[in-house]
Amino acid sequence: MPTLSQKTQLLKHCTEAASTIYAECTELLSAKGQHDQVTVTRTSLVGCGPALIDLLSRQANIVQIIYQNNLRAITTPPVITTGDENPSSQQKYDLALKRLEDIASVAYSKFYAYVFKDLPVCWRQLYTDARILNFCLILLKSPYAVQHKADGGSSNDAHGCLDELVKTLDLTLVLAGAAGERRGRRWIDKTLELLHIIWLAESEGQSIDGDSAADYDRPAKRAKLVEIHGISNMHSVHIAGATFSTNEPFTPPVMHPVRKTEALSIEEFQTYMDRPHDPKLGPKPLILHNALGEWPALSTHPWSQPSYLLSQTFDGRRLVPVEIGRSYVDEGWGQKLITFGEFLRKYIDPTSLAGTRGHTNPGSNGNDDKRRCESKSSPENSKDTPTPKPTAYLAQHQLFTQLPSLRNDILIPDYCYTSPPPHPTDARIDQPELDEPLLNAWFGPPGTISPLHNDPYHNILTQIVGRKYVRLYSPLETARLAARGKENGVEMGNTSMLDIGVLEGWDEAPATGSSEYDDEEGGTEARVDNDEDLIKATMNEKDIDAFKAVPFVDCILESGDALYIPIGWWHYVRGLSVSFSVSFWWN
Amino acid sequence: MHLYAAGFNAWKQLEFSPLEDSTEEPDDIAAFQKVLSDKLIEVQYADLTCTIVNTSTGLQYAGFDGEGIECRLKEGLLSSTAAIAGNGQAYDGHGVITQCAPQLTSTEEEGKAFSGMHDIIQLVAYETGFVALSRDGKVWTWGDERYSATLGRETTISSPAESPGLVEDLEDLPSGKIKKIAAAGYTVIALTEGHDLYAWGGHPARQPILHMLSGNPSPVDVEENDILDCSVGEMHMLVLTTRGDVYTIGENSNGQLGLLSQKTVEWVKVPLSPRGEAIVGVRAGQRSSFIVTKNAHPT
Repeated sequence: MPTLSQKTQLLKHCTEAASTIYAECTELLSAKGQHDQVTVTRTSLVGCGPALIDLLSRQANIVQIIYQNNLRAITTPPVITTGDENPSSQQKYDLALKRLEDIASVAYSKFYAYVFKDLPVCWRQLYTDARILNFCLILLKSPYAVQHKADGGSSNDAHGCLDELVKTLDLTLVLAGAAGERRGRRWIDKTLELLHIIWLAESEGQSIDGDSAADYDRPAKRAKLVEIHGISNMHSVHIAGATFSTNEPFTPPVMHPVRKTEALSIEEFQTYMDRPHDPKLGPKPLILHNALGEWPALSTHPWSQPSYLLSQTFDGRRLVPVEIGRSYVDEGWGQKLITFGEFLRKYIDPTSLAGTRGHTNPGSNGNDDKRRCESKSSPENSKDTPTPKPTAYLAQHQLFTQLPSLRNDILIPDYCYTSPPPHPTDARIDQPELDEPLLNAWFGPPGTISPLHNDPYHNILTQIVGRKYVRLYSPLETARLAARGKENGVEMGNTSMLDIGVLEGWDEAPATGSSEYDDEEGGTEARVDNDEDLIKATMNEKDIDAFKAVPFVDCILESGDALYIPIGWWHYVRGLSVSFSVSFWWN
Repeated sequence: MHLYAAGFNAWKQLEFSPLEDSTEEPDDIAAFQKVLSDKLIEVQYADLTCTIVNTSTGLQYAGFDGEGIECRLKEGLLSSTAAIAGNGQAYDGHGVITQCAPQLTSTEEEGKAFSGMHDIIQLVAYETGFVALSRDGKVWTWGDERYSATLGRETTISSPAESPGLVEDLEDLPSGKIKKIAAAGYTVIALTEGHDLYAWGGHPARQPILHMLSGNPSPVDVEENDILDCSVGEMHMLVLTTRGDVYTIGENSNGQLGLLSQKTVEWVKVPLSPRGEAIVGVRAGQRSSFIVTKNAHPT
């Protein structure tokens, strides 16, 4: 029983969650009765009102009781399974699942009712705690909770349950930011860590020694594993060396190259920013060649290999929010939560995955698993239509808080520890000083576009996989760049109405597609109407000539490059091949 | 009179007399069930967690026994000219409509005041805004401009989303003026004196309850029936026709449609025709439905 200790740990972790949620709710409810608001902190559930706290507390109590009963049952064989249970305890279990779903949906409706920055944190914590309890319940019916006999029939169940378990936590991380001090992100990160170890051991059917994630540091061992399990039904087998396609359907010409230099020292970079040629403009963009040194993402933990990325995401089961559509200003653009595996297989590079047995489509596992796990429909249950596939972009997502193991594959560039100058023209743009740089991941197939926009921070854009075209306009040209205003209540002033790709003739003007609804949680977010027709109609040749006269610099970033984008510089970014970049905002 | 209910019952908000022993976790009610009988039944208030019904012996509550209900009633916050929106803002109508602080402790901040709307007979809230109806049938809307469809009107600089603006599409309707409004979630409905139902709204990321729903108020066809009463919940709707039938449509995740299906995108007649009773009214909670009947007089 090699994973017994981890399984026990995970069950204990869940029991603790249920009992702390119950205790917290009880405390709040009794404090309310005494009109005693002293214990109420800013991050507590109190703002959700006593009714919802009461409902949550009842469910936490039920989960506690179910865990206690289960603990008793485990010590006495035979192991309890779904089918053997008496109907009333199954009904209780089902009702608790439904109530947790109800609580989460009430909390989730608040995510829409408020602008996210005004959303009281209590609703995010309520969502998080409901999902944590939800996870506890599903876990209990999964093979990861109790020691199952290694019979072949259970592996499909395991897949279905794992999908549900991972999805439950990912929804919480992505939608609610896993709020809450006593549990929250810390609880979920630890849970995923334990689950990962258990899952690896279960699927490899052998003992685990130390940190399993470190397997990738030992290619020799991995190769051996491949040999041993080469023909067995092991879905974690990696095809070492298979990398993403480097195919580049279109390569724009570079007309006014950005200055390029070999990597600078931190002092040299500070000097570069301090002594601009044009003091009014400040420092200009600069490519730092080979600036990423010995990042694991470029060497031992190769992000260019789908198998590595799958190994870090429960074989592609983790959910990530992707932007569907050419560009976020297009009609029909929307955000969707899909599994990382589906993202790779369907959108990034189908060919590179042909040889792997990566788990990329939980939806195809059949309905039996689903029923057994009491799962709701999978977020990707939309039918696979043969229509031309839209572009999907994992963009500006806090991927690294969600997947800490990938965060360890990259380093914060030294350049982010300098003191950069303020915005050259508009001090209102400058933000309060960040404690640490803001990281964002940008992972997509060829043809992803970030429309011309500017950011309120200095940016080191690092290129890890593939190539990207970047065009930059100085902040002094802002008046000529047709900034948008407020659109449907969303401030879009940092985004230009100019579509560089269309104006340069690289792209067709986007069609105004019909919108499609997606009422799944994490479905389409507030949509932005498109003004392309308007632009086309109002932009005559004179305007287009005027646009073409605005000076710019441009470049193609290669793997290993870093591009310094000073604050306020307008930039248009276009993925040329499969491309994975990470941006570091700092000030 | 009798009250039938179906839907979300996590706080026993559909149970006026305990149906079974109280230690059990209450389940939802999936098919309309008689929950109360009295000489007088008026559903005064129905939200997510509680229900308040006016009876011959006074108000009766069901649902979460929070301390807030009594004082909210006293403050007039649960009257027909006050409403609480989903983003936490409460409004109150007393000649001048006042926007209160998000929390129910209405004393802590003074609100925004709107004048110019006279003789308001109904004030309702949807998730992110408000709708007011005056005695002469005028309808005003205001709220979060991100969900402009629920406003049912153009927003301009002179008539912004955040301030009450007249829904001009509802002026001079063929079947008379608006006599009743209802709103919830991201849907608003209005009923004319001539029994026509109008609806508008929708959320950009959700399937609308009615497929015809848009930012322009439009007539709703319920199998060509005239509509006597109507109500809307977070994601479902129910109407009473002049023939005395109740139709529902929308989400049924908590049994709020009183039907077996998970959800419906077409109007479905509720299979409820209690002997000797005539249906006189309908009311939707956020995730529940109520039907009021009275004993039919054999004339």
